[in-house]
Amino acid sequence: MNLFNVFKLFVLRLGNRGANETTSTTYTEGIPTAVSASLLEMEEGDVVRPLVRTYPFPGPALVHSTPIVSKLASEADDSLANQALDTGTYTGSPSNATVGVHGSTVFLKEIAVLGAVDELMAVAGQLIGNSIVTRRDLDLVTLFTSLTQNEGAANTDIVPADLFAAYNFLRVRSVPLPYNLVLYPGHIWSAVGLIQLFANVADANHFSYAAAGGVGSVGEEFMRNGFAGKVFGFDLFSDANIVVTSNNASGAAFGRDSMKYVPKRDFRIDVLYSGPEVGWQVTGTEMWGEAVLKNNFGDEMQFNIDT
Amino acid sequence: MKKEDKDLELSLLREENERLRAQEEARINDRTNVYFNELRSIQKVGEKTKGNITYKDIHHPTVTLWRKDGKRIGPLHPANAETTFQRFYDVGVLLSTKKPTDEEIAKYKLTAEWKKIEEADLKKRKLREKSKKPDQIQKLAEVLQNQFGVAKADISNIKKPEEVGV
Repeated sequence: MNLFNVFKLFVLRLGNRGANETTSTTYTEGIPTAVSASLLEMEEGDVVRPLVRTYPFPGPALVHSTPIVSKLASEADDSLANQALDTGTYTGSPSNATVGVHGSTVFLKEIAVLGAVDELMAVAGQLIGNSIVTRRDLDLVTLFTSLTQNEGAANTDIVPADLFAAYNFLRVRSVPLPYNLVLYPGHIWSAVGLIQLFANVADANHFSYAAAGGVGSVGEEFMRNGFAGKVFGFDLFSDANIVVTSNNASGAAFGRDSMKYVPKRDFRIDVLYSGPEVGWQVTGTEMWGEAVLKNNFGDEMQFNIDT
Repeated sequence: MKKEDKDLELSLLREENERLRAQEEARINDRTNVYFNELRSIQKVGEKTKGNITYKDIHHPTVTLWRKDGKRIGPLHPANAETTFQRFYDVGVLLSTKKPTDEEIAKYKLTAEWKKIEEADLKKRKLREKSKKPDQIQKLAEVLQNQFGVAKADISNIKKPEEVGV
Protein backbone atom coordinates (compact mmCIF):
# COMPACT_ATOMS: atom_id res chain seq x y z
CA MET A 1 0.00 0.00 0.00
CA ASN A 2 1.54 3.27 -1.00
CA LEU A 3 1.53 6.45 1.08
CA PHE A 4 -1.31 8.01 -0.90
CA ASN A 5 -3.59 5.09 -0.09
CA VAL A 6 -2.70 5.31 3.57
CA PHE A 7 -3.67 8.97 3.53
CA LYS A 8 -6.90 8.21 1.70
CA LEU A 9 -7.84 5.62 4.33
CA PHE A 10 -7.02 8.10 7.07
CA VAL A 11 -9.27 10.74 5.50
CA LEU A 12 -12.04 8.17 5.04
CA ARG A 13 -11.83 7.21 8.69
CA LEU A 14 -12.02 10.86 9.65
CA GLY A 15 -15.20 11.12 7.66
CA ASN A 16 -16.78 8.51 9.86
CA ARG A 17 -16.50 10.67 12.93
CA GLY A 18 -19.35 12.58 14.50
CA ALA A 19 -19.61 16.34 14.23
CA ASN A 20 -18.63 16.92 17.82
CA GLU A 21 -15.62 14.66 17.73
CA THR A 22 -12.13 15.84 17.05
CA THR A 23 -8.93 14.16 16.08
CA SER A 24 -6.64 16.80 17.39
CA THR A 25 -6.43 19.20 20.28
CA THR A 26 -4.87 22.60 20.41
CA TYR A 27 -3.80 24.54 23.45
CA THR A 28 -2.98 27.92 22.04
CA GLU A 29 -6.27 29.15 23.47
CA GLY A 30 -4.81 28.30 26.87
CA ILE A 31 -2.20 31.05 26.61
CA PRO A 32 -4.39 33.83 28.05
CA THR A 33 -5.26 31.50 30.93
CA ALA A 34 -1.59 30.91 31.69
CA VAL A 35 -0.73 34.57 31.30
CA SER A 36 -3.52 35.81 33.58
CA ALA A 37 -2.70 33.20 36.24
CA SER A 38 0.96 34.20 36.04
CA LEU A 39 0.26 37.91 36.29
CA LEU A 40 -2.01 37.44 39.29
CA GLU A 41 0.70 35.45 41.01
CA MET A 42 3.32 38.05 40.14
CA GLU A 43 1.26 40.89 41.54
CA GLU A 44 0.91 39.10 44.86
CA GLY A 45 4.55 38.39 45.59
CA ASP A 46 6.32 41.50 44.36
CA VAL A 47 7.80 43.04 47.52
CA VAL A 48 11.02 44.92 46.78
CA ARG A 49 10.61 45.92 43.13
CA PRO A 50 8.06 48.68 43.78
CA LEU A 51 10.37 50.12 46.45
CA VAL A 52 13.42 50.66 44.25
CA ARG A 53 14.14 52.89 41.25
CA THR A 54 12.87 51.43 37.98
CA TYR A 55 14.60 52.36 34.73
CA PRO A 56 12.80 50.93 31.68
CA PHE A 57 15.52 49.87 29.26
CA PRO A 58 14.19 49.53 25.71
CA GLY A 59 16.41 49.49 22.65
CA PRO A 60 19.75 47.82 22.06
CA ALA A 61 22.42 47.10 24.69
CA LEU A 62 22.35 44.87 27.73
CA VAL A 63 24.23 46.92 30.30
CA HIS A 64 22.27 49.81 31.77
CA SER A 65 24.63 52.43 33.08
CA THR A 66 23.69 55.26 35.46
CA PRO A 67 26.39 57.84 35.99
CA ILE A 68 26.08 59.50 39.40
CA VAL A 69 27.15 63.13 39.68
CA SER A 70 28.61 64.25 42.96
CA LYS A 71 27.05 67.24 44.70
CA LEU A 72 28.12 70.77 43.83
CA ALA A 73 29.21 73.11 46.58
CA SER A 74 27.55 76.50 46.71
CA GLU A 75 30.00 79.32 47.26
CA ALA A 76 29.49 82.32 49.47
CA ASP A 77 31.02 85.12 47.40
CA ASP A 78 30.73 86.60 43.91
CA SER A 79 33.83 84.97 42.45
CA LEU A 80 32.48 81.57 41.64
CA ALA A 81 34.85 78.86 40.53
CA ASN A 82 33.81 76.44 37.81
CA GLN A 83 32.86 73.08 39.18
CA ALA A 84 32.97 70.00 37.03
CA LEU A 85 29.95 67.76 36.77
CA ASP A 86 32.22 64.90 37.57
CA THR A 87 30.77 61.45 37.79
CA GLY A 88 34.15 59.94 38.63
CA THR A 89 34.29 61.30 42.15
CA TYR A 90 31.26 59.38 43.35
CA THR A 91 32.36 55.93 44.50
CA GLY A 92 30.39 53.34 42.61
CA SER A 93 29.63 55.57 39.61
CA PRO A 94 28.46 54.58 37.10
CA SER A 95 26.07 52.00 38.46
CA ASN A 96 25.79 49.20 35.92
CA ALA A 97 23.03 46.63 35.73
CA THR A 98 23.48 43.75 33.32
CA VAL A 99 20.29 42.35 31.87
CA GLY A 100 19.71 38.63 32.16
CA VAL A 101 17.00 36.14 31.22
CA HIS A 102 14.79 34.82 33.98
CA GLY A 103 11.99 32.35 33.68
CA SER A 104 10.83 28.81 33.92
CA THR A 105 9.44 26.19 31.63
CA VAL A 106 6.93 23.44 32.19
CA PHE A 107 6.28 20.50 29.91
CA LEU A 108 2.60 19.57 29.96
CA LYS A 109 2.04 16.08 28.66
CA GLU A 110 -1.11 16.03 26.56
CA ILE A 111 -2.41 12.94 28.30
CA ALA A 112 -2.01 14.65 31.67
CA VAL A 113 -3.91 17.67 30.37
CA LEU A 114 -6.74 15.51 29.04
CA GLY A 115 -6.99 13.57 32.26
CA ALA A 116 -6.87 16.46 34.70
CA VAL A 117 -9.90 18.04 36.30
CA ASP A 118 -7.97 21.25 36.91
CA GLU A 119 -7.06 23.58 34.10
CA LEU A 120 -3.40 22.58 33.89
CA MET A 121 -2.54 25.56 31.73
CA ALA A 122 -3.64 27.83 34.59
CA VAL A 123 -1.65 25.73 37.04
CA ALA A 124 1.41 25.99 34.79
CA GLY A 125 0.89 29.75 34.47
CA GLN A 126 0.58 30.12 38.21
CA LEU A 127 3.76 28.13 38.84
CA ILE A 128 5.67 30.08 36.21
CA GLY A 129 4.45 33.41 37.57
CA ASN A 130 5.35 32.39 41.09
CA SER A 131 8.83 31.28 40.06
CA ILE A 132 9.53 34.51 38.20
CA VAL A 133 8.32 36.83 40.93
CA THR A 134 10.31 34.87 43.51
CA ARG A 135 13.39 35.10 41.30
CA ARG A 136 12.99 38.85 40.82
CA ASP A 137 12.51 39.44 44.51
CA LEU A 138 15.48 37.15 45.26
CA ASP A 139 17.66 39.08 42.83
CA LEU A 140 16.79 42.29 44.65
CA VAL A 141 16.98 41.05 48.25
CA THR A 142 20.37 39.47 47.69
CA LEU A 143 21.61 42.96 46.83
CA PHE A 144 20.98 43.84 50.51
CA THR A 145 24.05 41.87 51.51
CA SER A 146 26.14 43.70 48.94
CA LEU A 147 25.65 47.05 50.72
CA THR A 148 28.81 47.85 52.65
CA GLN A 149 27.08 49.44 55.66
CA ASN A 150 25.66 46.88 58.10
CA GLU A 151 23.87 47.94 61.28
CA GLY A 152 23.84 44.44 62.72
CA ALA A 153 26.11 41.43 62.69
CA ALA A 154 25.94 37.67 62.95
CA ASN A 155 24.18 36.34 66.06
CA THR A 156 22.92 39.78 67.03
CA ASP A 157 19.42 40.62 68.21
CA ILE A 158 17.84 43.76 66.87
CA VAL A 159 17.50 46.68 69.31
CA PRO A 160 15.87 50.11 68.87
CA ALA A 161 19.26 51.82 68.50
CA ASP A 162 19.96 49.75 65.38
CA LEU A 163 16.85 51.10 63.72
CA PHE A 164 17.59 54.66 64.75
CA ALA A 165 21.21 54.20 63.60
CA ALA A 166 19.91 53.14 60.18
CA TYR A 167 17.57 56.12 60.10
CA ASN A 168 20.45 58.36 61.09
CA PHE A 169 22.68 56.83 58.40
CA LEU A 170 20.14 57.66 55.71
CA ARG A 171 19.35 61.13 57.07
CA VAL A 172 23.02 62.12 57.25
CA ARG A 173 23.38 61.23 53.58
CA SER A 174 20.31 63.29 52.67
CA VAL A 175 18.54 60.26 51.28
CA PRO A 176 15.08 61.38 50.19
CA LEU A 177 12.15 59.96 52.17
CA PRO A 178 10.30 57.61 52.43
CA TYR A 179 12.58 55.02 53.98
CA ASN A 180 11.79 51.35 53.59
CA LEU A 181 12.59 48.58 56.00
CA VAL A 182 12.40 45.14 54.43
CA LEU A 183 12.91 42.34 56.94
CA TYR A 184 12.65 38.59 57.06
CA PRO A 185 9.45 37.50 58.91
CA GLY A 186 11.61 36.12 61.73
CA HIS A 187 13.06 39.60 62.21
CA ILE A 188 9.56 40.81 62.99
CA TRP A 189 7.53 38.02 64.59
CA SER A 190 10.01 36.02 66.61
CA ALA A 191 11.21 35.91 70.17
CA VAL A 192 14.07 38.20 69.10
CA GLY A 193 12.06 40.19 66.58
CA LEU A 194 10.69 43.69 66.33
CA ILE A 195 7.50 42.84 68.19
CA GLN A 196 9.54 42.25 71.34
CA LEU A 197 10.42 45.93 71.36
CA PHE A 198 6.75 46.76 71.81
CA ALA A 199 5.72 43.96 74.12
CA ASN A 200 4.19 44.63 77.49
CA VAL A 201 5.42 41.79 79.62
CA ALA A 202 7.37 42.18 82.83
CA ASP A 203 10.51 40.45 81.70
CA ALA A 204 10.63 41.66 78.12
CA ASN A 205 12.93 44.25 76.70
CA HIS A 206 10.74 47.26 76.44
CA PHE A 207 10.85 50.38 74.44
CA SER A 208 7.94 52.45 73.36
CA TYR A 209 5.35 53.37 75.95
CA ALA A 210 5.85 50.35 78.13
CA ALA A 211 7.24 52.33 81.06
CA ALA A 212 3.81 53.89 81.45
CA GLY A 213 2.24 50.47 81.58
CA GLY A 214 1.01 50.04 78.02
CA VAL A 215 2.22 48.49 74.80
CA GLY A 216 2.09 51.82 72.97
CA SER A 217 0.23 52.53 69.76
CA VAL A 218 2.66 50.53 67.59
CA GLY A 219 2.43 47.62 70.00
CA GLU A 220 -1.33 47.86 69.84
CA GLU A 221 -1.16 47.80 66.05
CA PHE A 222 0.88 44.60 66.22
CA MET A 223 -1.57 43.14 68.73
CA ARG A 224 -4.61 44.05 66.67
CA ASN A 225 -3.42 43.46 63.11
CA GLY A 226 -0.34 41.32 63.58
CA PHE A 227 1.52 43.98 61.65
CA ALA A 228 2.43 47.64 61.88
CA GLY A 229 2.91 49.50 58.61
CA LYS A 230 5.31 52.01 60.07
CA VAL A 231 7.95 51.51 62.76
CA PHE A 232 10.85 53.74 63.84
CA GLY A 233 10.21 56.01 60.87
CA PHE A 234 10.35 53.21 58.28
CA ASP A 235 7.67 51.73 56.07
CA LEU A 236 7.83 48.11 57.13
CA PHE A 237 7.72 45.17 54.71
CA SER A 238 8.06 41.47 55.37
CA ASP A 239 9.84 39.33 52.79
CA ALA A 240 10.22 35.57 53.13
CA ASN A 241 12.52 35.38 50.10
CA ILE A 242 15.43 36.75 52.13
CA VAL A 243 18.08 34.04 52.44
CA VAL A 244 18.66 32.67 55.94
CA THR A 245 22.16 31.54 56.88
CA SER A 246 22.56 29.82 60.27
CA ASN A 247 19.75 31.69 61.98
CA ASN A 248 20.88 35.03 60.55
CA ALA A 249 19.19 36.94 57.80
CA SER A 250 19.89 40.25 56.11
CA GLY A 251 17.10 42.71 55.59
CA ALA A 252 17.73 46.32 54.65
CA ALA A 253 16.76 49.89 55.41
CA PHE A 254 16.91 51.96 52.26
CA GLY A 255 15.68 54.84 50.18
CA ARG A 256 14.37 54.35 46.64
CA ASP A 257 17.65 55.28 44.93
CA SER A 258 19.72 52.68 46.74
CA MET A 259 18.96 50.05 44.11
CA LYS A 260 17.74 49.99 40.57
CA TYR A 261 15.61 47.57 38.65
CA VAL A 262 16.04 47.58 34.87
CA PRO A 263 13.26 45.84 32.94
CA LYS A 264 14.35 45.02 29.40
CA ARG A 265 11.63 42.77 28.08
CA ASP A 266 8.29 42.22 29.75
CA PHE A 267 6.83 38.95 30.87
CA ARG A 268 5.86 36.61 28.05
CA ILE A 269 4.43 33.10 27.83
CA ASP A 270 5.25 30.89 24.87
CA VAL A 271 3.43 27.64 24.21
CA LEU A 272 4.97 25.20 21.80
CA TYR A 273 3.52 21.82 20.90
CA SER A 274 6.05 19.05 20.64
CA GLY A 275 4.86 16.17 18.46
CA PRO A 276 7.48 13.61 19.43
CA GLU A 277 6.98 14.30 23.13
CA VAL A 278 3.20 14.64 22.82
CA GLY A 279 2.67 17.72 24.90
CA TRP A 280 3.14 21.45 25.26
CA GLN A 281 6.28 23.22 26.34
CA VAL A 282 4.97 26.20 28.30
CA THR A 283 7.68 28.76 28.90
CA GLY A 284 7.45 32.04 30.77
CA THR A 285 10.33 34.46 30.56
CA GLU A 286 11.22 38.00 31.47
CA MET A 287 14.43 39.95 31.01
CA TRP A 288 15.72 42.38 33.56
CA GLY A 289 18.81 43.59 35.35
CA GLU A 290 19.33 44.86 38.87
CA ALA A 291 22.13 46.61 40.69
CA VAL A 292 23.03 48.75 43.67
CA LEU A 293 22.51 52.32 42.50
CA LYS A 294 23.87 54.26 45.47
CA ASN A 295 25.60 52.17 48.08
CA ASN A 296 25.24 54.84 50.77
CA PHE A 297 21.48 55.09 50.28
CA GLY A 298 20.95 51.68 51.83
CA ASP A 299 21.88 49.94 55.02
CA GLU A 300 22.04 46.19 55.56
CA MET A 301 20.16 44.94 58.64
CA GLN A 302 21.72 41.60 59.55
CA PHE A 303 20.13 40.16 62.67
CA ASN A 304 19.06 36.97 64.36
CA ILE A 305 15.73 35.63 63.29
CA ASP A 306 14.96 33.46 66.28
CA THR A 307 16.30 32.34 69.62
CA MET B 1 -6.12 -48.80 70.44
CA LYS B 2 -4.75 -47.91 73.81
CA LYS B 3 -5.42 -44.53 75.29
CA GLU B 4 -1.71 -43.63 75.19
CA ASP B 5 -1.54 -44.52 71.51
CA LYS B 6 -4.62 -42.46 70.83
CA ASP B 7 -3.13 -39.49 72.62
CA LEU B 8 0.11 -39.89 70.74
CA GLU B 9 -1.70 -40.09 67.44
CA LEU B 10 -3.73 -37.03 68.32
CA SER B 11 -0.66 -35.04 69.26
CA LEU B 12 1.09 -36.14 66.05
CA LEU B 13 -1.95 -35.07 64.09
CA ARG B 14 -1.99 -31.74 65.89
CA GLU B 15 1.70 -31.21 65.07
CA GLU B 16 1.08 -32.11 61.46
CA ASN B 17 -1.87 -29.76 61.43
CA GLU B 18 0.26 -26.92 62.83
CA ARG B 19 2.97 -27.60 60.28
CA LEU B 20 0.54 -27.59 57.38
CA ARG B 21 -1.17 -24.48 58.67
CA ALA B 22 2.21 -22.66 58.87
CA GLN B 23 3.10 -23.91 55.42
CA GLU B 24 -0.17 -22.66 53.98
CA GLU B 25 0.26 -19.31 55.71
CA ALA B 26 3.75 -18.95 54.25
CA ARG B 27 2.40 -19.87 50.83
CA ILE B 28 -0.34 -17.23 51.10
CA ASN B 29 2.14 -14.63 52.33
CA ASP B 30 4.44 -15.44 49.53
CA ARG B 31 1.59 -15.15 47.04
CA THR B 32 0.63 -11.79 48.52
CA ASN B 33 4.17 -10.55 48.12
CA VAL B 34 4.31 -11.79 44.59
CA TYR B 35 0.97 -10.13 43.91
CA PHE B 36 2.08 -6.75 45.21
CA ASN B 37 5.48 -6.98 43.56
CA GLU B 38 3.89 -7.71 40.22
CA LEU B 39 1.33 -4.98 40.72
CA ARG B 40 4.09 -2.51 41.53
CA SER B 41 5.96 -3.45 38.36
CA ILE B 42 2.85 -2.90 36.28
CA GLN B 43 2.14 0.43 37.95
CA LYS B 44 5.71 1.56 37.42
CA VAL B 45 5.39 1.00 33.70
CA GLY B 46 1.93 2.58 33.76
CA GLU B 47 3.25 5.76 35.32
CA LYS B 48 5.03 6.57 32.10
CA THR B 49 1.73 6.77 30.26
CA LYS B 50 0.17 9.13 32.84
CA GLY B 51 2.24 12.01 31.57
CA ASN B 52 4.81 13.41 33.97
CA ILE B 53 5.04 17.17 34.12
CA THR B 54 8.60 18.41 34.11
CA TYR B 55 9.71 21.81 35.34
CA LYS B 56 12.90 23.73 34.72
CA ASP B 57 14.17 27.06 36.02
CA ILE B 58 15.81 29.46 33.56
CA HIS B 59 18.22 31.84 35.19
CA HIS B 60 21.60 33.42 34.67
CA PRO B 61 24.41 31.96 36.78
CA THR B 62 25.01 33.58 40.14
CA VAL B 63 28.09 34.14 42.28
CA THR B 64 28.22 34.05 46.07
CA LEU B 65 30.97 35.96 47.78
CA TRP B 66 32.24 35.21 51.27
CA ARG B 67 33.83 37.28 53.96
CA LYS B 68 36.66 35.68 55.94
CA ASP B 69 34.43 35.30 59.00
CA GLY B 70 31.95 33.27 56.95
CA LYS B 71 29.42 36.00 56.18
CA ARG B 72 27.66 35.28 52.93
CA ILE B 73 27.15 37.99 50.31
CA GLY B 74 24.75 37.22 47.49
CA PRO B 75 24.17 35.11 45.44
CA LEU B 76 24.53 37.86 42.86
CA HIS B 77 24.54 38.31 39.10
CA PRO B 78 28.21 37.89 38.03
CA ALA B 79 28.39 41.58 37.04
CA ASN B 80 27.00 42.62 40.43
CA ALA B 81 29.40 40.24 42.17
CA GLU B 82 32.29 41.99 40.44
CA THR B 83 31.04 45.45 41.48
CA THR B 84 30.42 44.22 45.03
CA PHE B 85 33.90 42.74 45.23
CA GLN B 86 35.30 46.14 44.22
CA ARG B 87 33.00 48.06 46.58
CA PHE B 88 34.06 45.99 49.59
CA TYR B 89 37.69 46.13 48.54
CA ASP B 90 37.41 49.93 48.57
CA VAL B 91 36.29 49.85 52.21
CA GLY B 92 39.09 47.45 53.16
CA VAL B 93 37.23 44.13 53.07
CA LEU B 94 38.59 41.40 50.82
CA LEU B 95 35.89 39.01 49.69
CA SER B 96 36.34 35.62 48.14
CA THR B 97 34.33 33.34 45.87
CA LYS B 98 35.58 30.44 47.98
CA LYS B 99 33.50 29.65 51.03
CA PRO B 100 35.78 29.51 54.07
CA THR B 101 35.81 26.21 55.93
CA ASP B 102 34.97 26.03 59.64
CA GLU B 103 38.69 25.63 60.36
CA GLU B 104 39.57 28.68 58.28
CA ILE B 105 36.90 30.74 60.05
CA ALA B 106 38.15 29.59 63.46
CA LYS B 107 41.72 30.43 62.45
CA TYR B 108 40.70 33.85 61.14
CA LYS B 109 38.89 34.62 64.37
CA LEU B 110 42.20 34.31 66.19
CA THR B 111 43.85 37.01 64.09
CA ALA B 112 44.46 40.58 65.23
CA GLU B 113 42.33 41.82 62.32
CA TRP B 114 39.25 39.98 63.61
CA LYS B 115 39.94 40.90 67.25
CA LYS B 116 39.87 44.56 66.21
CA ILE B 117 36.58 44.12 64.35
CA GLU B 118 35.09 42.14 67.22
CA GLU B 119 36.17 44.71 69.79
CA ALA B 120 34.60 47.54 67.80
CA ASP B 121 31.44 45.52 67.35
CA LEU B 122 31.20 44.63 71.04
CA LYS B 123 31.65 48.30 71.94
CA LYS B 124 28.89 49.25 69.51
CA ARG B 125 26.56 46.51 70.78
CA LYS B 126 27.14 47.46 74.41
CA LEU B 127 26.11 51.01 73.64
CA ARG B 128 23.13 50.02 71.52
CA GLU B 129 21.89 47.44 74.01
CA LYS B 130 21.15 50.38 76.30
CA SER B 131 18.29 51.28 74.00
CA LYS B 132 16.54 48.13 75.14
CA LYS B 133 14.74 48.87 78.34
CA PRO B 134 14.56 45.68 80.31
CA ASP B 135 12.46 45.20 83.41
CA GLN B 136 10.43 48.37 83.02
CA ILE B 137 7.50 47.02 85.00
CA GLN B 138 9.82 46.25 87.92
CA LYS B 139 11.27 49.75 87.68
CA LEU B 140 7.78 51.22 87.62
CA ALA B 141 6.94 49.20 90.73
CA GLU B 142 10.00 50.66 92.46
CA VAL B 143 8.94 54.19 91.53
CA LEU B 144 5.44 53.55 92.89
CA GLN B 145 6.90 52.12 96.08
CA ASN B 146 9.15 55.13 96.61
CA GLN B 147 6.62 57.80 95.70
CA PHE B 148 3.37 56.39 97.02
CA GLY B 149 4.53 53.91 99.61
CA VAL B 150 2.82 50.98 97.92
CA ALA B 151 4.79 47.82 98.62
CA LYS B 152 6.24 46.32 95.44
CA ALA B 153 4.76 42.96 96.29
CA ASP B 154 1.27 44.46 96.48
CA ILE B 155 1.39 46.05 93.03
CA SER B 156 1.36 42.80 91.15
CA ASN B 157 -0.55 40.93 93.82
CA ILE B 158 -4.11 40.85 92.53
CA LYS B 159 -6.39 39.65 95.28
CA LYS B 160 -8.92 36.93 94.78
CA PRO B 161 -12.62 37.89 95.07
CA GLU B 162 -13.02 36.18 98.45
CA GLU B 163 -10.06 38.14 99.86
CA VAL B 164 -11.82 41.45 99.27
CA GLY B 165 -15.12 40.20 100.60
CA VAL B 166 -16.97 39.56 97.33
